[in-house]
Amino acid sequence: MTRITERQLARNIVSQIIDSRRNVNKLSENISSGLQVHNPGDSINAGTISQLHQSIEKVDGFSNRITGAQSYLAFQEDILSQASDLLIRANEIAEQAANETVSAATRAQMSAEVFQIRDHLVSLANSTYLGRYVFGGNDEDDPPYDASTYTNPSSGSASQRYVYDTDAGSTSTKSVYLTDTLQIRLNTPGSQMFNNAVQGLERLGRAMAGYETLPASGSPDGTGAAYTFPAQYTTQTQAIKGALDQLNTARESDIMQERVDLAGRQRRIDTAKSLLSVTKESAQNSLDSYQSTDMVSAATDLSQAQTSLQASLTLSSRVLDMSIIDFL
Amino acid sequence: MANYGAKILNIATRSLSAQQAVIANTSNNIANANTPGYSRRVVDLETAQERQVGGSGIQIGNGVTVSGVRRIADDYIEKLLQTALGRESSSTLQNDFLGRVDKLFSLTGSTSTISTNLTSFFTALNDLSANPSNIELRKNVLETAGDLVNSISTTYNEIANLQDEANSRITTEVETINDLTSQIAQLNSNITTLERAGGTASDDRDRRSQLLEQLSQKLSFQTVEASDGAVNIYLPNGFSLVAGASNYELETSTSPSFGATPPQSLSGGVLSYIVYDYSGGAGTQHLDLTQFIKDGEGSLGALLKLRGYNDPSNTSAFQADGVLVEVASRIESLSRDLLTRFNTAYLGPDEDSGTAGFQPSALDLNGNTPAVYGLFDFTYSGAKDVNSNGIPDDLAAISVGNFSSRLSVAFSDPRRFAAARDVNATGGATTLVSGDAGNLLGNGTATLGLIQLQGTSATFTTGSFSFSGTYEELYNETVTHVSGAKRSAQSRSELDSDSALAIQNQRDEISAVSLDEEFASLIKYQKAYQASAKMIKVADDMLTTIIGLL
Repeated sequence: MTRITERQLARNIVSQIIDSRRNVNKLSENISSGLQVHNPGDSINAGTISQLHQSIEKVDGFSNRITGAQSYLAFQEDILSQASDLLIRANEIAEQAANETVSAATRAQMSAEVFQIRDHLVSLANSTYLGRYVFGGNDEDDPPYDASTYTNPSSGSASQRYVYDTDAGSTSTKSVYLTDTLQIRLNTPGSQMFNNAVQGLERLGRAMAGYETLPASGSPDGTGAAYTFPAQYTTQTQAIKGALDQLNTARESDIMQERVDLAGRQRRIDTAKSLLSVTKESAQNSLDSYQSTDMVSAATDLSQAQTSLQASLTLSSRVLDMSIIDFL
Repeated sequence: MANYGAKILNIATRSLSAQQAVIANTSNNIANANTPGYSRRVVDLETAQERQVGGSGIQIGNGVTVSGVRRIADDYIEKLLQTALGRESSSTLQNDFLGRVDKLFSLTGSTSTISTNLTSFFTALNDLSANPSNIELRKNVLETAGDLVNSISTTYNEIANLQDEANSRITTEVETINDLTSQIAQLNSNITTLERAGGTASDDRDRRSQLLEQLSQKLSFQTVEASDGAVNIYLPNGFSLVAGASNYELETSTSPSFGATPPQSLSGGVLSYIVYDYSGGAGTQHLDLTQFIKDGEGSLGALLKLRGYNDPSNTSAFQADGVLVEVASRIESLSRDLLTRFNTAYLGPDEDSGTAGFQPSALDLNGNTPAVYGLFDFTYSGAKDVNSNGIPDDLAAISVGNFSSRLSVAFSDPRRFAAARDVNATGGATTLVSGDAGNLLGNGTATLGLIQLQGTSATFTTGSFSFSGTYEELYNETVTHVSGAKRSAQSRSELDSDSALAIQNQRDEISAVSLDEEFASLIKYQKAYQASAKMIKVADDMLTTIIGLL
């Protein structure tokens, strides 16, 4: 450079001061917002930052769903546990009644308790959770077990019958995505879990009360004549034993199987839950490393920038002050 | 005897005049030290022509004379400066506009963006699948769908508005350009006239330089100085803006003679073309200058680059180029996918393959099937299912400019959300089981089908944009695209500003007034003036002595 004119000096000084101020501004904003990346143009990693935000938001969504699912499944487990206890009691009664030392009249008296157990079981099967029936498949508005009758007797607790709802949807299930890949079935149709229990209790109760239930195996069709005593006493005993078998199947296969399956699903949910919290934490850490301001270094940078601005201002006032006019 | 006495007086007098001239020039320089566009003047002194005195063959010299006043300016640096200013103006404007696009895709996580609303929408769908009859959850699905639609159309409309803003600024810039070229042509005429008579029209040249700088901040051009002093200005394709004392005015036109129905803009309006009408009378004959100006620098170049150029034979706004159209295309491709692929999934599979035509298998709480554009709808007064096939695949046949600004949620009653799927196979054909609204309550199968779409890859296309991926990947690609464009505009802007600064300093090094220099020169010539005045006194004494002898 051979000549320096006032215009050049002024231009350079102003440009430097503007740059210093811009720097101070940007650092202040980064510190006060805690973020060094606000918009895509602030970082080369904009796409990655966007992706990390999406992951974290999704995980938050999943967490709510998981809590809901856990409560729902816990409720079902509780019901099944109570059902299981009822069937154990029914088993005890049946074993007693099957004994050939017990008379037909005594059996008839004991049948009352069996029918009470059956009624209690049906009310468990007809449980609602937040106003909706849990064990009716997708048919949440109707009770799964509807009341019906046996032809013999025409009245009394032995004529009371419960049949699983046959409306469409009563055997369907619903699933929910608890994570991107984990789909959990939330319900099981009541027919799978309770039919044997309900029918077994009805067969037991009716047999003990002195009535046959037809057909001999499979779902009752509502018919069955009264036993004649003493001739059909042994038939009665056979019928009681048959019902006992059915009740064992109900407890040890149907309900137990469902409880095992429930426990399995609950475990999967717990695993998913802890994996999700790990995922969220690592995503949050990555995001912080890209996007959050390192307060310590930002504060240091800001203090340096302010010093530099101060120096620019001081220097420029000195430089602009010097002129040949003062010396002539 | 030779008479040197007169010579002494003459030389001294001439010297006084010459030194005064330089001091006057210095005074002018000092006064104009801060005048924008002023180039310092330098007075050229040379020895006055010699004449022999009295035939004696002795030549002494005839003193000093002012041969001229020169303007110190380097034409080459001036041209460099014009280019640099053009670049700076262009990249600053692009950086500003891109900054505004940047803000639409905030990464702070605390503002509502398309991405946050997409995530909320799918979360709401997921929550609903666990409990499909819950009215609160259904309302939530509709609300999040509404938020998504809002953020899409707001983002799109912001970008469309930016394009419109750039478009309207073009008209203003063209008017300014015409004003500048007209002034330059006038100055050309002045300079030519003045310089023909001899001398330099320094003030006019300074003013013309300044106007050229202002013009260079608008658009790119080349200049050629003719031998008569006029500067002729050409666009890069050779079109003459200024030739001597005439200037040729540019116009903007939305219905140029070379394009019957130019395509719409992103907002459904029209884009202007920069033209020159050479018909000179009845009718118009337009020459399209838009592309050439767009390829150059300056604010007009920047506005055209941002806004994009759409060939008049195109039919869609998305066939234009430029970053605004690129980003808008991505958003439009999302809207179109929601209207087609998402809506198709919402209808569910054909529930009766035995009957001709498509019958949706999705059902709402009232037992009804959805309309063709069942969940996401668009404002349009004509027929939407153009091919009447019951499937939402008709967008290409519907002539609207864009769907993003017309997007809406089809209904507001939460019972109408079709979460259930009820398909019953009988023999070869599937038939819908009519019926009991109760069994629809717990059925969320259709919703599960929708949720799958979040992780499914699809192809998104609009105009020349095409991308395969999920919704989230599409959004992230858009963010990356905007990030790249903004960051390169930012760094170009900083570079160009620094470059313009450096060249301005270079120009000032040559042409600007240095007060130190002028004051030093002032002292020098003041002393010379005092010395010359002393010479007159000496000559006067000599004459007095001679007269005293008489």
